[in-house]
Amino acid sequence: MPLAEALEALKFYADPMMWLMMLAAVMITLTLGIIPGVGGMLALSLLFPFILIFPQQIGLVFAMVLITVGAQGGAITAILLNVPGTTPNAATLLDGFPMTQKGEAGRAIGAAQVSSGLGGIAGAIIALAMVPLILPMIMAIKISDMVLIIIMGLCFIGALVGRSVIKGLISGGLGLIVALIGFQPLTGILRFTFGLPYLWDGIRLIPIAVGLFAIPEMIGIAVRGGSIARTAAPLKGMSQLWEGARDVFRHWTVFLRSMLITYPIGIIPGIGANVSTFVCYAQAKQTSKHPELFGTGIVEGVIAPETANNGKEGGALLTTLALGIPGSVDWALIIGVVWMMGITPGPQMMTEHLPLSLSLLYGLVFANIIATTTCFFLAPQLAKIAFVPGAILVPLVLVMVFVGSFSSGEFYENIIVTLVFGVLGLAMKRFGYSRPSLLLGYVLGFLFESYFFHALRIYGPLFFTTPISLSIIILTVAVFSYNPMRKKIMARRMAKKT
Amino acid sequence: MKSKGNAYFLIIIMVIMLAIIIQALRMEFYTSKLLPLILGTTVFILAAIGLAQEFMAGHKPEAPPDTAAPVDVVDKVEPGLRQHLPIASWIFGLALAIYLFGFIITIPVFIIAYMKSQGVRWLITILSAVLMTAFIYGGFAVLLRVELYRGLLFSWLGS
Repeated sequence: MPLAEALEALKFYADPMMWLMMLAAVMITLTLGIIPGVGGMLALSLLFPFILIFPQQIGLVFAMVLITVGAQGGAITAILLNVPGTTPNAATLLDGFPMTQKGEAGRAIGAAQVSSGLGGIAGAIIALAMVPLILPMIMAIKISDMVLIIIMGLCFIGALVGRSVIKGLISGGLGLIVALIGFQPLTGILRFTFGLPYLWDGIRLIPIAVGLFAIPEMIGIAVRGGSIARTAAPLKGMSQLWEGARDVFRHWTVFLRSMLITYPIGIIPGIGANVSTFVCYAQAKQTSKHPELFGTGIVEGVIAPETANNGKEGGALLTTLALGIPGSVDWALIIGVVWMMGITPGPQMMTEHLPLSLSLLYGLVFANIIATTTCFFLAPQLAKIAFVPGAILVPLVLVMVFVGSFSSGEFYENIIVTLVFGVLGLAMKRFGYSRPSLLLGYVLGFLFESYFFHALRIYGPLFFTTPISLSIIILTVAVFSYNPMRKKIMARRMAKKT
Repeated sequence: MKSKGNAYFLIIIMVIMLAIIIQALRMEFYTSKLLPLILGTTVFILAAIGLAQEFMAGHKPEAPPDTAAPVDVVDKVEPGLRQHLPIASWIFGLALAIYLFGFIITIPVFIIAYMKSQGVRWLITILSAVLMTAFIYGGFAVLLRVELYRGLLFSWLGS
């Protein structure tokens, strides 16, 4: 680890404002993580304008905390109310809610919070340790390689998020096309502006983000009606919470195996917590002495997925910083934040801006400590948030959506853009298209075109024949071929049996 | 066909991609037209493949696997378009009201109107409207120094 940069990154935490903003971000994301349909991504898209007024390190850490620790709040609703607060908590309720039904709600929450927090801390520490190893690799990456890295990232995110490869790739392609609107720096030509001066600078990020993510979720809550939860299971004192915390250390092998699985998953772009939580749950069940007890309310069934929830974030952060490709879909917005701060996402984050990148890894450690402590002691109070009726939540969020959208440049046209992307987001959600892929395509589109033409000019049409580029192509093809080939082999085996 | 809605969505995408390709062909420099042509063509082909898959598949209910939404909360039976109309009207109405009357008037009026239409008590309604308006004004107008849109009516009155 480059010591000078590591110490410089640590100095950012001497600023009390950094701690205040981290605490604020933890409280906001835990609160929103409890309400299904409202998570860190929505919080980040609504709070975009505020993030940009702070110094870069504070704004980035604030944004990162918003999307990384929200699942800890979501675990509370999953365990107490049988409703996952965030999508990754879906695996937690398999054993979490049965534990509540057995009168062990506190134990489940204690185990969930401690395993999640320790997982996040361990993931960040592993990522910090890996920084000196990946720096030489990053130095070797050329502009031509970045073209292939962006294509790989879009393909992975498009293909691995959701069940349809075609839909994922269409989403990413649409995002890239949206990025083409406006003034092209290379030639000075205006593209797809239809004579509207508003479109000369392209479509802005915040109206797209709030339109895509906030409006469909608010429509969903409004259509469902009522509040998320109607009855609550009581939480009996602190003794059960401490018992759950001790369970994590008793079952340290479950924790360790989950970390070994979830961390590499976090590194691979596109595969997020949704996959890792279920994979870790499955491995805990398979390796257990009593697999038949899983699903009946067993604490290992909570430890495994919750470790995976935060354990993957260190790897995902490293991929996002080192390559400029989000390690999971939530990080697509972080790339947007980085870009709006005037920093080019990608290898420069680990070279020119190494102290900033390291400060994010430190922030991950501190945020997990704060979030775990908060959830541990405030679980019953936080659970009450799930009873907020949609009738109160929806108008407040919609107002924030439109104000936030307008504030990006102070154009009323932003609100029209938000409405258009709101309709698009609703259609994409309904028909199973990946909204994060579209956003990622948009964020990376500008860079992609720039890298593409620079690579053509410097290396000619065969720019993709460098060793790194060829490795990326082979890896991408391998990932895409894996599932169809596996299905073919399994079909042949079934045919042979019959 | 698996899902009519998805088929229409794909057709719309294909039409838009065709328009992009035609526009791109009219551009002057190859550096301007190359990427729109490549992307437009690629997405068009992908959409065509998706449409073909829709027609070839049998009648199966469409599962919405968007990971931005919680798994359990996604309705097992998708709400129909009619159920979306009321909230859609509120959203478009909000946008129109902002255009006509600006943020500071519209925000409290919208919050009160929506909450009362949903049967929320007066105390919570008024409190929410006041606090939200104060937050928007304090957070955006004062802290971020955003000049909140005054609306067509007040701009006309002011001029």
